[in-house]
Amino acid sequence: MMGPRLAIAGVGLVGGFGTGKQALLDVLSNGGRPNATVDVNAPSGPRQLPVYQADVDGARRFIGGGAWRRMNRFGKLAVLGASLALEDAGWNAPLDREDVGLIVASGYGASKSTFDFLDSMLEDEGRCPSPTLFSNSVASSAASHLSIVLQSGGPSLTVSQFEMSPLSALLTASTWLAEGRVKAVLFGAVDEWCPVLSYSYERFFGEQTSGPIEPFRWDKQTAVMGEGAAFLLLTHGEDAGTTYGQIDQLLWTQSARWLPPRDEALVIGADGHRCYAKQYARLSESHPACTAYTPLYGSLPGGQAFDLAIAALAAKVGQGPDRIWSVKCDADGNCGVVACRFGPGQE
Amino acid sequence: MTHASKAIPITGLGCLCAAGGTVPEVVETLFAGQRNVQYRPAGGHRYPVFQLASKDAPPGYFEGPECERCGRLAVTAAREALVHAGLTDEHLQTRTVGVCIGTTVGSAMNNEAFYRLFREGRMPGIEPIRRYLRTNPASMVARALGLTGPCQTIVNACSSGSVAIGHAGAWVKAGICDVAIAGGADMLCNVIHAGFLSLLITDSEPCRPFDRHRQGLNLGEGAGVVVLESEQSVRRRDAAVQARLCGYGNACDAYHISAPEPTGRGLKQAIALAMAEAQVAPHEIDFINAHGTGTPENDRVEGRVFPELFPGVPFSSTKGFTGHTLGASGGIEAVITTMCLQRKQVVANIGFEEPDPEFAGQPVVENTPIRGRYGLSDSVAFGGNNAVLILQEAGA
Repeated sequence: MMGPRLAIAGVGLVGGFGTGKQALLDVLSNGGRPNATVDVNAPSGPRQLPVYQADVDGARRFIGGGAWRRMNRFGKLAVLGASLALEDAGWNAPLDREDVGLIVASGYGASKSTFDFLDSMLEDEGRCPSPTLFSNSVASSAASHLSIVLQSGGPSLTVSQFEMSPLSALLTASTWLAEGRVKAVLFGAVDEWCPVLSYSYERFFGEQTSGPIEPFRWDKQTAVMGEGAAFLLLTHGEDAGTTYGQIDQLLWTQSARWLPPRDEALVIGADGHRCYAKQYARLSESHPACTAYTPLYGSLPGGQAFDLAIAALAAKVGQGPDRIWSVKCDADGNCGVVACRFGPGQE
Repeated sequence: MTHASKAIPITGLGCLCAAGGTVPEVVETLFAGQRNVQYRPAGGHRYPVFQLASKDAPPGYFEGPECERCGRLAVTAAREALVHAGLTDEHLQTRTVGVCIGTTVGSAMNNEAFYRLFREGRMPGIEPIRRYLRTNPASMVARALGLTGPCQTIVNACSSGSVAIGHAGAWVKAGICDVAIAGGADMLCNVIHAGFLSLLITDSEPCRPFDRHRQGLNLGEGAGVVVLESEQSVRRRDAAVQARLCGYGNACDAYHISAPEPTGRGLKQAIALAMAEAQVAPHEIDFINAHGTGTPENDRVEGRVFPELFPGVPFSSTKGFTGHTLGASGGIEAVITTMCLQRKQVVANIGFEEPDPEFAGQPVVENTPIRGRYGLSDSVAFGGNNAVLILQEAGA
């Protein structure tokens, strides 16, 4: 579906595994697991749920004091992930340029700020809703904060397409680069935990939410909620000589119609949700080299961006294959496919 | 920077809002100068809103689940646009069809009734969340029409509809799809109303875009959708072209989370990008459909930028007829811009009475004849996201 190749020039990651590349490499070697528990009111009584929770404190390095106070957690996750990707690529922030595009893909948007604003609205019979919370509750707030922190005057896009958010965003990134609208795209997925999501998990799945994630257990619901940000700095494919590698192909298809090539590694986005089990089971059935990174970062709609960043990083340190097909499925039977080749000098 | 210019045919239009339930009705209302204002209580006052009339709303719209409304508006406008384009099910099944819909409310998990129970510890049923997960506007359009091409719900605040059309055009240009259904959809809801009230940018009277005494916006609801189609697809079925999308620009202010950058830096950059892609000079733009919300700050930016970049070019805001429909506005205004090109007439900027001495120009106060070759529609959104579309008459 996609014409031009996208070079991956930098990756930035924050999630329940920690902040940055080394934290990710540590869990890649030792295995990932939820790093926190949260209290949830269930009809059967209070209980605790495991979650993968990110620490945004590392973003202080990139955000000034005044801005830090005004910015919501969703924005901080985005700034942290994006700034790490820029740093990884050797770029200096602030960018002060108009030829870098920003794309944020998110399943649930600024969910914590959304409900915080509702709190402010429902308290005191709605007399004093907070304008700051309202501004931060807008789904594009993370991209706005990012453009301000980076002083980036280029195009900006926020996409909310649940599991297909990263793939649909990458399709647009590819057109921006192909048209010459920008010289680079800072693309990332951001999703944040909030109490309503944990409550919803508990009500949807009940006792099945105690983890750990077992991505290849097709008969059991094992998803554990994750949060975080995964960013890739993307440039033209011809720049690939100095990068992690490149994205060769983007494909929006239906999981029932597509089968992965069997001679290259398959990274599936199976995250323990049983509702997608049939789709992933079919795609990975007897595939000789199928893996899932979801136990490292948890279950979240933008997971495919994490998969791409992790695969690029793993290949760079010799802990992963140098060619992969990343696949993410959604509830409508759609399937987002990203083909990557890693390693220097790929042409 | 220049882009290879290749205008994308627009073959169908669909629209519903307070001004009417179909494109012809909306156009008739606008050119007749009618305002269909209703009032909604909030915070002890009554505020003007531009709500869909019952006769124009999709069946069951007001009675059904609130979280489905944006998607249902998008589906209704998309169906009208496909009929207008003459695209049958057979056409759709033999083409890759993408869906790109902008919204604000349509992606927000802000169910007030559910959350009220949740925060009181009353453990609400999970049906509203289940429904929310099935009401992504782009997905609803795709499901309703049986489409399997790429889908994207764009949540760039109030520029979402324009951005959706711009990106859908790029998808068609790049061959990602043969046909793209693109635009915006948004609904009225209490949470958003409370948010704009908290920002003190809601007018308690019907809005007055660009007027010296403007006090803010009025919220509205609706959807505006265009069908973008590759030249090859148009030729294959010998379709009529309504207009062409020939320029798109998107740029950030990088300034403030809710206020626009006062000099219009980002808006100027978005205009420059769109003009470069369209390969047109400022004097070739025949009119501007302004974002023109009626808020002091937003109108100030446009009121300064338009006379500076487009001296003497007529401009007008149609928010006085539709209200500010947020993520839908760019879609609705792209439809209106197309219809103005076809009628060779600009709609009067209703609500404007007294010029603002800060501005070197003022909006048109009467329906005004134009050459009708190129129209520009801009969106100036929260967080400093600016988007500009340049539309070209079909025969140009």
